[in-house]
Amino acid sequence: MARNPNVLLVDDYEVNLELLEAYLDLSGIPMNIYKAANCAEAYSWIERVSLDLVLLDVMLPDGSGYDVCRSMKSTQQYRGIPVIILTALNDKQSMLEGLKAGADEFLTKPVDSHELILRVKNLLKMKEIANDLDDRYSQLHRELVIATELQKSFLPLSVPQYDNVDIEVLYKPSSYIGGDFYDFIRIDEHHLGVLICDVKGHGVASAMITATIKFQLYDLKQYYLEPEKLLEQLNDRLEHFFSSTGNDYFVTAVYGVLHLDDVTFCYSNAGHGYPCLCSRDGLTMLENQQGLPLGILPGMVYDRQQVTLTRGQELFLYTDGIYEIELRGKAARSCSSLMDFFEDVENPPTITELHALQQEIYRYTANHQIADDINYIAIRLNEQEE
Amino acid sequence: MCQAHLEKFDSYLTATLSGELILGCTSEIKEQVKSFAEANQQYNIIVDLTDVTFIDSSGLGALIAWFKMANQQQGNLVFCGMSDHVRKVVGYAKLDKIFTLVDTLDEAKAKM
Repeated sequence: MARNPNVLLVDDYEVNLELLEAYLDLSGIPMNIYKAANCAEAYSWIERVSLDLVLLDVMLPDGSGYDVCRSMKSTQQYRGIPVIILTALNDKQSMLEGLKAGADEFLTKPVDSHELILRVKNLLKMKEIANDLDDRYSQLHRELVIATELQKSFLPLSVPQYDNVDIEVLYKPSSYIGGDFYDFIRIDEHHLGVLICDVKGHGVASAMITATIKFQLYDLKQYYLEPEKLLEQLNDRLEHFFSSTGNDYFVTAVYGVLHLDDVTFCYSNAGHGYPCLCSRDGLTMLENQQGLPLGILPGMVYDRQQVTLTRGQELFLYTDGIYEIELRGKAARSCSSLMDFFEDVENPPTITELHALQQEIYRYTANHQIADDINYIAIRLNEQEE
Repeated sequence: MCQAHLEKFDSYLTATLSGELILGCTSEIKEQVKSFAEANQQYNIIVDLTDVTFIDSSGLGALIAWFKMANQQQGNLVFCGMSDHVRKVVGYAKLDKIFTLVDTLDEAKAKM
């Protein structure tokens, strides 16, 4: 224990308190002793001091030691503090009463000094381990909070705005750090780089991998206009990073360049959910032939595809978190493709249907805790401009 | 919930998986199969997915981890019994380009 343990003795007879203190002194364990003569004083110490052990007499002038014990054990903050009940009544009934109240040990009065010391040592040892675990948990929790903040800081500060193109983004991180990430790269006034990706892995590691991707993207400037080359480079670098750190992560991603003059999207797909092109007439999944997720094998090749947006069309990029939620009366995890959400819709699904689905995703994420991050990017022509 | 039933044969191992291969239970299964292979120093492995009802990206991660392990050890890893759902998810990620996939356990054994 980093500090000396804090031990509270509760007994209404001063002489008993002194005797207990003398016995504990014999144990040779350096400890801070606090003394209480009744329940009220006991509660007051419990609230003020971070206790490691309580020795509790049963019959107190203002109540019962069982009540103090019960109250401690039913409070999240104090339930981990071990309690030894001291009782003059060496009978089964009072033992059961103590057990019900959640006591950890019993000692009958007159207290045997050797037994007392042994039990105190054991319980303090246990508490030390529990304190250590608590410390580690708090540290982990602090690190997770930092990682979550770090993760958020990698996201674009704003969504790019143009006269002729509307871009809409939904990003809902799960409470547990997930690995969805997106970025906009303002290459020049005619070209916007768009990346959407999903790091498979959770927690601090996925935040670190996101950081790596962000950094690599920055370093791959010369490939911004060549999506397949950018993904090939990113794949090799991530594969090297993952294999040198000995882990099994991988990343699915779509990277594309939006040519703002003719609103053409040139993109490559690395194992990510197919982008969806939608119009009033129907909805097409833009399948690709090549394209393993990033970071699995070196030397992978990606193909480039391109789609030109016309009036009334929308390009929809998304991550697989949407399959983890219950949408349109379909159980979570019953869909494995965006098309599955439109099974019950009059054929063919149209842009109206897609917008309805987006609304449902939006409403769901506003009202529920989600298990996986949810992220989508919708790109469409600005109708007013046309 | 997902489970793995592991068996050792003369020249290969089988890992028969069942349930939902999803975040939360996958990392344990992933390690179980890896340790079993390491303990037996046998990297010819059949992964039978017949009773896997759902797979998410963590589940895919496990399949990839076993594939990479077998690859590094010059082993032969074969997946069999993928349901339509599992095959679709594996297909979207283009993993069918690198994985060896067969329909039945017998076909998998024939590849060992």
